[in-house]
Amino acid sequence: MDNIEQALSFANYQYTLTKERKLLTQKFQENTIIAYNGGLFKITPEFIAGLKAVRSEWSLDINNNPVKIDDMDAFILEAQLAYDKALNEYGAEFNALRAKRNVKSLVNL
Amino acid sequence: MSQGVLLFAHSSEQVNYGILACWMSSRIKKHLQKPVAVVMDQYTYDGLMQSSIIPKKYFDHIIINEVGDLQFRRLGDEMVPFTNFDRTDAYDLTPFDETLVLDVDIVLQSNRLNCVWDSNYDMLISDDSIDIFERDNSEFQHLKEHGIKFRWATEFYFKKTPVAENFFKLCKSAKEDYNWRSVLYGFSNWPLRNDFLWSIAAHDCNVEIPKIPRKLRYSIDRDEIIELRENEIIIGTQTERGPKVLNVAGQDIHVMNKYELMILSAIEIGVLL
Repeated sequence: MDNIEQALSFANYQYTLTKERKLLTQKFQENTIIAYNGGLFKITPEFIAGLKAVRSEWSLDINNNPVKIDDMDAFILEAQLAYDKALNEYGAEFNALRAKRNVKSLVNL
Repeated sequence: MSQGVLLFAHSSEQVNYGILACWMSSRIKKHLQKPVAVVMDQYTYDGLMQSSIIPKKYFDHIIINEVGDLQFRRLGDEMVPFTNFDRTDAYDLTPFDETLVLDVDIVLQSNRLNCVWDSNYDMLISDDSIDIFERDNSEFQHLKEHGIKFRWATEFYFKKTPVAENFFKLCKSAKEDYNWRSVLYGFSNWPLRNDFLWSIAAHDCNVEIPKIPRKLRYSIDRDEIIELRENEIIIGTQTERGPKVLNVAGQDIHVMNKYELMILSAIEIGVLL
């Protein structure tokens, strides 16, 4: 960009904030997908609760393929850790974004 | 089972894909910690040597493959030559049992793609994408309106299995019949696009090919890279409502402005262009 200052002065704070928030949401969604025993699982609180309630030897992955879970406790723990980590990161980055009051700081320039 | 990332790099006068591949390899080693193989032609290899780059420093496997014909495509306001004819040979060329093929213009900023390894699936491909500025991306949804679903050849994973082998046979078959396929599916027959071959093969193979579990983020060739840092990229664009700037941090993004990416990636790996 020839004149970054000029670009930034025109750039809309609300636009940038909304888009940056969406990027954070996408990042959170991606970080809640884990690979386990060859399957791909989307981790949500409902998924974890379902695992705890059903305790089957099998679980359906994101493509609805059954995957054998040899150690259910280890799988639940891994799912919980992945979700916690993703949510903590999302929360921290979301809060940091809220504290930024201009476009320049939103995009770390 | 060996696992690794396969890159394709065929430089032209305008874009030094060799340098992009070296930079990409350094990012792969950092984020994915996997061996990297590169397919390049002698022109690209010699170009690296002339830039005082030792390819063996970046790549675990170097596969020299001459591809011949050049095509032209629009990059910004210019038509630039490129070649992409050997991506359909990925199955035959890869030295790995499990291969992740990545374009060299993906800015790798996370280890998310490590979720593909040891998969139960024979192949994983990308079909869902999002423009970071959320412009109309219908051209990346279907080959034409109400046509077959668009699949990206930008990133995909495969194992050496009959299913994956069949997929690549279908890609080659679609390449041979490209003119006819373009009439059948309603897209331009020039230049040849691997994305279209992948879309046709996925459509033809009669099994649902699972997708890499994420949206492929991208910015288009007119967008400008303002800064490329270790774990974030700042991209600007002109819209009807003025210039806009976004920071993509800790997420991978497919950056189509190869000119600027080439310059910034050369700086990152300490190479003078």
